[in-house]
Amino acid sequence: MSHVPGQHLSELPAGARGVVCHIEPGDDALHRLMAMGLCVGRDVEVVRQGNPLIVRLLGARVGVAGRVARHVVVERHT
Amino acid sequence: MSTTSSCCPPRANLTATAGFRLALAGNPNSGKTTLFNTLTGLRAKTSNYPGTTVEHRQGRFKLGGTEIVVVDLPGIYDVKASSEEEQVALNILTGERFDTVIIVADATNLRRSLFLASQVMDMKVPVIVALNMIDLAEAAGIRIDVTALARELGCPVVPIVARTGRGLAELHVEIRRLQTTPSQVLATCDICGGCRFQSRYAWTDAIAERCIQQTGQATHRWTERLDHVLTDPVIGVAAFFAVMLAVFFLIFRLAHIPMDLIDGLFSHVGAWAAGHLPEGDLRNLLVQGVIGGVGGMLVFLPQICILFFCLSLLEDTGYLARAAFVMDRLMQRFGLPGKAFVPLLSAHACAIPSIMATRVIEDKRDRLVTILVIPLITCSARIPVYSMLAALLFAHDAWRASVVFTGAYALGLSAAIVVAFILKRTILKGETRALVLELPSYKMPSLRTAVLMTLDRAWVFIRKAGTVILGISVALWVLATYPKSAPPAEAIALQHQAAKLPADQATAMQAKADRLISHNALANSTAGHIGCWIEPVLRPLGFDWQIGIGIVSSFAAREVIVSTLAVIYGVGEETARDNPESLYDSLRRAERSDGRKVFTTATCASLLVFYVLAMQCLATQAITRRETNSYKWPAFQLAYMTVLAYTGSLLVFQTLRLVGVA
Repeated sequence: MSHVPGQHLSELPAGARGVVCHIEPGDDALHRLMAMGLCVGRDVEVVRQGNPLIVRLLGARVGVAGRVARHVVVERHT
Repeated sequence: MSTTSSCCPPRANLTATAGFRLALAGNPNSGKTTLFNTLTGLRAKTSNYPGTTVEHRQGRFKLGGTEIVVVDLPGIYDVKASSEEEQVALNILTGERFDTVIIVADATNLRRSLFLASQVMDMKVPVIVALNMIDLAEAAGIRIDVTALARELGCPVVPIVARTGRGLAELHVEIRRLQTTPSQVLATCDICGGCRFQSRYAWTDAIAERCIQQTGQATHRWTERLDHVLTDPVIGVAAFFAVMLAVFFLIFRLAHIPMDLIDGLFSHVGAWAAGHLPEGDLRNLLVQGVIGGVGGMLVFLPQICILFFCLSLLEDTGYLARAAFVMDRLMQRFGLPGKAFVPLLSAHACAIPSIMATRVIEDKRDRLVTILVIPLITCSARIPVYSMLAALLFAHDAWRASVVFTGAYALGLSAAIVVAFILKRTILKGETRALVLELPSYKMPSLRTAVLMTLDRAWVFIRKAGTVILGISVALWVLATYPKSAPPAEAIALQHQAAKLPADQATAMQAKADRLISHNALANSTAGHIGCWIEPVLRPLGFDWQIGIGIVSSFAAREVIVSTLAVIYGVGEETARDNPESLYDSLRRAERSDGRKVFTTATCASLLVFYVLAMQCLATQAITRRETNSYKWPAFQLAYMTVLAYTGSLLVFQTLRLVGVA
């Protein structure tokens, strides 16, 4: 998986935006996150980094535990 | 204004004869409940959905002479069941016949609402989309082309503001239209291939592209500024404690006024009944068992109401989501989600509303663990017991007495945390649900929603806990009254003496005789026998049979031990209430049959630990039964807490005895 050109959501700095390019399965809470609009190909923005962190999805703010955010790989917009 | 698509084929109208059934579906925070309350007002009924602990609200209203039944579905993001709530929503939507489903969409975040809408539409039920909070959307510079949206979706779209009632008339018109004219099958959104989330969101994006115009960047600026502070890991936690402090201040400052009123009212009613009924057991049963029982139950109500009112307002503003957010990391360490924190903290006022408030916890196991440990937290009913024991341990020493209090609170809280930690690793094993929580935009709370919510909870309490408390207080009265015993010789002698004296001297003597009689009656009653019977079990804890009676009689409500001890040690209930020091003095002087003091330091410390950890509250048990939908969990709660309290007291008493503090 090392060639996936992205960073985990949990590693992006506050203010960073990107496109979700991969979601590694493994946490039940990912399903909820996907239903809230975080799925492959969609935009996401980190509002506050930390554990839990805050992301912006579809204009809404969502608090996400660090251990869930580690499953989401994001390709950062430049 | 609203628009109906005309391109759809007609569907047979099923509503001509049967009552018209309407369901409300929507995301959490979409204002679904506010709309439900606006539509139905007070004519709503809350119950558990059969076989689950998910609440199910049903209400009615009249529209054009027809009764319309409204069902409020749990707030969901997705209809593919990943939680019990989503499962129930799905079961109701697919299992029951609805004439119309109103999808309550958040106009400020339409795309996500459309995601759910598209799934409901796939179920082939007639749909009306209510664009709620259109005022906030307008203020944020979001312009929605309602006509175009209705055309795209193939269903009526009505912009509304549920909180103020704006757009409600138009919504009624659309419901009427579906009631009287054949309704339409919806244009389903043609989705195929790919991840189901991805394709649905592509569809909602396409619609949003055509129907929404975003002008300006004014979106939720206030929310961002506030959140900058309120979700901060340090300031946010401090702010949260400040908010909860204010809630507690309100509870303890305001609740005592109605509590005193209720107390006073029931003593008056009791005195009135005692004066008007013929003397005898029936009178005593009515006065002590029934009137006392109802009063003892209703006295909890003010705290419950204030707590729910505050929590409902906080929830509605969007703040409670931030509280769960900032507490999540800490709580996860103990195996509980951040959402468990507010119920645990509220339990310092009363366990009953706190257990009801655990409904916000999504994961079934997390919620169950929280419910099971809540009664360990020191509630306000323990305060009179702590006061008595602190006074017995350290008479006239406010500093040490406050250390006793703090220690008791800390013991309860630590016990709750440790038990939660153990339960999550043993019988309720499982990973704690990770936080994925929407932080909705802050908004003005709806007073109406808060009042309705409070009334609803109060009613649940009266129905579920009240009946149990009443039944048990009657049962305890029977235990403490039968079998009857003849008054002791000493009391008869006193009464004879009193009869010969002038009235002013006789009163005191008569009162003493009465105290002797009630002491004797209680000691020889079934409760007294149980106290004696369990004495061998209690002796290692440092308790005698009289304390045993106190424990038995306070099984339903822990604070009762104070008045029972007052009767047992011959102080009289009234004296103990008006002048607690006189009770403490008698207790300090009380001796066992061998001349040793009853309330030694070791016994007091042991009794304190017992009352910190023991269940001793049947109302809580009744609510646990309702909230877990089983008898198994309240039984488990009672069992583990009894074992914990017994072991704790045993350790404390035996250790203190060994080190020579007796």
